[in-house]
Amino acid sequence: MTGLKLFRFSDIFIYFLIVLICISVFFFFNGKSGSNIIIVEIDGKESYLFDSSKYGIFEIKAFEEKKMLLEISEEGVRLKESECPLKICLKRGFLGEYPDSIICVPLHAVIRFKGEIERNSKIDVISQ
Amino acid sequence: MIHNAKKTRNLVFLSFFILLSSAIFFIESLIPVPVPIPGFRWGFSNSIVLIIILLYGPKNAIITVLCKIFLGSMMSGRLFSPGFFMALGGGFVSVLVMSFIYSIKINGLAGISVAGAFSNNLVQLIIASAVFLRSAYVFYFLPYLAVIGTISAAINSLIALEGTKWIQKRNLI
Repeated sequence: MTGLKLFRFSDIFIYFLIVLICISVFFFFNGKSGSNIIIVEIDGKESYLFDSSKYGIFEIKAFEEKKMLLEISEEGVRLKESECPLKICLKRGFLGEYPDSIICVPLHAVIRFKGEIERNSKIDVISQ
Repeated sequence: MIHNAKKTRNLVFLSFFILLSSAIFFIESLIPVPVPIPGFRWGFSNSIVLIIILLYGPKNAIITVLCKIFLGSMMSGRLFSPGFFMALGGGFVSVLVMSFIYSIKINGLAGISVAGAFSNNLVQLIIASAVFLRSAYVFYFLPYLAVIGTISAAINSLIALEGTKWIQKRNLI
């Protein structure tokens, strides 16, 4: 421990690597413009599709049949209720544009706008 | 006899540090999350883990991390929840990364701490993505976690360095 400093020049390589990984993530998700279709993935499967111009409150059955309420309004898209323990997904507020997402880990759910490159979805029914 | 007394004292201090890090881990879980991102934590208990690496070495730091996550999760009632498994995987890899970087002795404590925080966030998102969500979209939050993690890790490294100096000055260990 003797002589250990708080900062050393070689730390720059660590920061550089972190910035490089973050930029890669940024580029991986960007450049794919979004649409007005909202996807709800449960356990990695596209389980629900919603049209963001059709307002209402919709029930979603997530992991272990636990329920979530998705609200689509003029203000935007958000989770109104969730049966998860910590409610982090509710605190998330309104969903931003693609590739932003509302994530609920305990209920295995990802809610996001559909990206441009995924137009040929296996689900062809949009919940009304 | 003297050797045994030193061993006992080290054991007492190590137990104290494990309890302290578990308590910080537990208290953090009670504080409302300011940034609603899965896997977000301030991670201030990591300053204790850094102190253990500096004073007792990597092996004891790994034991501390595992005990901290088990005890802290048990206290908060989150044992075997998704958050527990994310914290366990992230914490374990983080302490391995920090121990390795510390052992090569070319980085400062801030660099070690930041690398630990970033690896923790990365592994937490990998676990969330691969085990629970089965979706890669959670990685979109990695840059946000990296920024917050770097700030808290820098603070942790300062606490750890000053804490270790304080302990050594008083010849406590």
